[in-house]
Amino acid sequence: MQISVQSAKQNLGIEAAPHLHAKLSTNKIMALVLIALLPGVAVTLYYFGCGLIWQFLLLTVVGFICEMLCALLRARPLKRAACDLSVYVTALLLALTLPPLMPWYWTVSAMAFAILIVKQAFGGLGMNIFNPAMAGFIFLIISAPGAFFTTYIAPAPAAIQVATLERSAKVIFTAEEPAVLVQDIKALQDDPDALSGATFLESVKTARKAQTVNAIAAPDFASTNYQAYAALGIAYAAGGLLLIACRVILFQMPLAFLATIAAGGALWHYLSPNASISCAEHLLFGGTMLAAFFIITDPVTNAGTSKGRVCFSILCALLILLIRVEGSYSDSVAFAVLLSNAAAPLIDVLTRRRPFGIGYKEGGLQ
Amino acid sequence: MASSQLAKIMHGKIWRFFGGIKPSELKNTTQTPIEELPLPALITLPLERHLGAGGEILVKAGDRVKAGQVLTIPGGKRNVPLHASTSGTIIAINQQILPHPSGFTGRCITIKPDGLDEAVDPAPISDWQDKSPQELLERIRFFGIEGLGGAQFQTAAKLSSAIADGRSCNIFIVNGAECEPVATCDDRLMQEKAADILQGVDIIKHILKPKAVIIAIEDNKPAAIKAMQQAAADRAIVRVIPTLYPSGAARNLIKIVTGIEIPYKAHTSDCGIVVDNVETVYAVKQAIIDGIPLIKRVITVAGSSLKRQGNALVRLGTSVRFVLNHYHLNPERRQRIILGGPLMGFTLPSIDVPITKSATCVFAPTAAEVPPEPEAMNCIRCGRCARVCPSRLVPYQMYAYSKAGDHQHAAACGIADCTECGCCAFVCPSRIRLTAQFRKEKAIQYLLKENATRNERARARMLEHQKREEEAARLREEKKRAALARIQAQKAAKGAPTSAGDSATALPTAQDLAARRAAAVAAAQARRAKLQGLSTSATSETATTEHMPTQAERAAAVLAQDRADRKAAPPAASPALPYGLRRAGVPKQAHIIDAPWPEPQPAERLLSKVENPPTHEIEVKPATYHSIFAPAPEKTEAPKLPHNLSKTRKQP
Ligand code: SF4
Ligand code: SF4
Repeated sequence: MQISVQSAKQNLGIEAAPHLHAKLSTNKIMALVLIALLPGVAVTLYYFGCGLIWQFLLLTVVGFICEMLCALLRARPLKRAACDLSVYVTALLLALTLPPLMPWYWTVSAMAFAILIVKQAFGGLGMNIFNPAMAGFIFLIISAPGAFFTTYIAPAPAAIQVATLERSAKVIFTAEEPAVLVQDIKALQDDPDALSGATFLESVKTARKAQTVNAIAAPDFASTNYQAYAALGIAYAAGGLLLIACRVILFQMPLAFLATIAAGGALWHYLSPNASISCAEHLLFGGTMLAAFFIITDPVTNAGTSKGRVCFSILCALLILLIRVEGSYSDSVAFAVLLSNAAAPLIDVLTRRRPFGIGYKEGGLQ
Repeated sequence: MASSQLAKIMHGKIWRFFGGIKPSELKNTTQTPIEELPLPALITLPLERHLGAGGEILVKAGDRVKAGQVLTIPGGKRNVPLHASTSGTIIAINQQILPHPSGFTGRCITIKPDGLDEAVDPAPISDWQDKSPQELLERIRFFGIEGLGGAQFQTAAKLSSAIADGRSCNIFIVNGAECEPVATCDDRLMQEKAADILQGVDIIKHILKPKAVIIAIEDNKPAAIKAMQQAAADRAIVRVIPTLYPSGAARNLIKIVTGIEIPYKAHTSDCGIVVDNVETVYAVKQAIIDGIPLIKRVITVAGSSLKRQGNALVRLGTSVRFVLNHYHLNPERRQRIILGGPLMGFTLPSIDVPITKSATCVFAPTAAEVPPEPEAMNCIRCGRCARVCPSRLVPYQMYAYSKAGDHQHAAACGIADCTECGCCAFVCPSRIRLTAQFRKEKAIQYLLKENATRNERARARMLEHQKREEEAARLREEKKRAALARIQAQKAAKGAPTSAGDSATALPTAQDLAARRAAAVAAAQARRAKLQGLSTSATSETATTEHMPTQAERAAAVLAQDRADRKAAPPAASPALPYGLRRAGVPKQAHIIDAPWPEPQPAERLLSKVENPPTHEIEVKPATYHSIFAPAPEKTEAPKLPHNLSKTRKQP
């Protein structure tokens, strides 16, 4: 038996200062984010049916396999890769943004793209430049726009009773025609034929080309057609407040983001009501609330300092407005987030900190 | 200074510094009075800060010393004398382990106490109000007073640089913040010795004549605040500051109290602000009013691995083991002994190290109290570290550069401003050892800078050498050319006779040779005469004719001269130490008091910032990357074994 001289001599514990640590750890942060998303998940389940569960399971399994694969390829300890909760956050965010009835192969490819290319190819946790969930979403919307529109569910109360686990599974995994289920859910709405497009923002997009945006009836968020969006907004905000209370995210970020969207949207609507929807619509449609509390606050792809993060939020909000009003994709949040991600290093440089003691005059208090 | 600023300060405005953290305080010894520990079995006094270049040790092994006796006379201006902290016999002056995270050794004086604890007579200055600041500063330096807050900066040098060159001190801040968790020694001292501290403040006021004296205390010490307020009356302002780590760091405290940010390049005393720890002020009082040198200090001994916890007045040089024994350490497996607080302190590799002036606290936590550090995860760029860094740095960026071996960028990020306060590593959710990396990076930067200057010097030398070489080559060339020209001229001149008779020129006649030899001898004699004339011209013309004195004669003359000199001037009162202190061993002339007053050199600051810079070259490897499709390269080198276990026999 070989005796290590070092350990025989060394019986006092040696550690680097500081010896005290704050309670929050990276995995706790990830777990808190998952918990904070639960109200949103509940609302989505209720209004959009059980597709979300299948999507989340699928994404999780694929994400886990991809992580393991990368850990193997990079010769990193598997156990540590397995303990990392961040991949589940990505999976849940992606599940919440994808249409609940997306065919499984698209979901799998989106997640594989998000983890393998967007995250691991750049170095894994903490090294990615772009938000993996948003990149996966954009990957799908560009490569399979048709699937989006056929599988999108117009939310209705108690959709969970129609889109049960079995029925969603059939649509997702066995290529059954989703249109039947979508129609069944739509039938639960008070006024199933109010919209011409798949979603509100889609109809607005088509209307914008004809400059007839103000001809679309303003959505009534109390009606069963739009209830879901208001409920989702509230649920995400509640989860976001939990994160703020636990000091996981900076309150300045959602605040600056939402304020910019509200002010910018209102102003644009006032100036040209034919081009832009109103402020409340900007805030509640298209995942703005989800972005405000869960997507732009992703630490990895953000600017570094608090000041930089506020700038980042404002930039992202302005891009969302711009893409919604002028762009040709209705899912402006994802594009805006990726564009701001790309701008984050620049923001970092522009918001460099002044060093300690700047403005100090020689002699100081003489 | 803008008087409005001073008005604001006097009015009680409190500024905020950027960042900072609120760790759990763990200060459960605020109610335990300071108790004096008994005499330890051995006293070990490190010499490192008490010698310097040209310093000397006044004692040798076997000497008897008394408490308070001066043991060394420091050479450098920044060092102070060392005092024996009890009476006893010096048993060794040798290398011992120092209180250092890596267990470095250094020269120490070891005293075996005799148990009598005799002390030299105290030398109080009762009329200190009438003494000049210079005299008081000399006393403060001579009685070994250094910053007791942890930095161990020489107090007298700090005070004198604030009033040197006609500068005036505006604000004197007494640092009672004690922001480090666990430590309560300053708190207890303020509660118990408020009046004495205020006397010390009076003395420093007399030296500095500041416009304002502010005693800053964090608001988690209500008892100390009350005691100090009562004692201070209107002699000083007691400023209650919010509890936030690291408000006790000098620059942060200055920012809180005065709103001024002093860059790390500048000295705080250069801009009219002096910050001193309460215990230092107390030591100043003791040195001047009681006439006792600094041989004891208060430390907090805490941690759940101890049966008792408390504040102890220990003699400098007492070993940590003795202190822990006295408080009944019940160690767990791989017990950590932290010297200094849990945020700035370090774990000791050995507990047989002495308590020095910089130790504020000995902390022996259980694993439940301070959980062992988990493995670090990837940085998720959450920005928490950047939000708490009091130096306004962006630690994760610096860490990434430093880890990748990009030292230029790390320096550009401002690593020099890092105070190693530990805030960033405290909050990091991924438990990355940011502060440890910065400590290492600073050492590397220091080395790189050293290398650069050394290279620069070598290059300059090289250039000089080259220039010299070129010059020599040029001269040689010129000589050669001249010689060639001469030869050619000779040849040309002899061109005609050669045709007349070859033999005459080819073989000089005997006559010719004799004439030449005679000329050479004459020339040589003339040269010698000239040389001798030079060396003896001072004495006389006739020196050349006298015989030169032999070696022995000369030595005898020197000795005689020496004897005569000594008779003429009897040895100038050899124990010239002031304050009636006895000196052991060979009497030697001390120059300590006549030395002109030190001025801290800003250039030296970098040196002092890196404690124990690595002595050997640190290998600076560039970052290596490998493809994600190839497994990481195998580590080929075998793990290093200690000498006695190395595998010497190679497999065939
Ligand atoms: S606190 Fe830790 S995880 Fe967060 S940015 Fe700093 S180094 Fe990275
Ligand atoms: S250790 Fe250095 S980088 Fe970290 S918070 Fe303190 S000063 Fe800033």
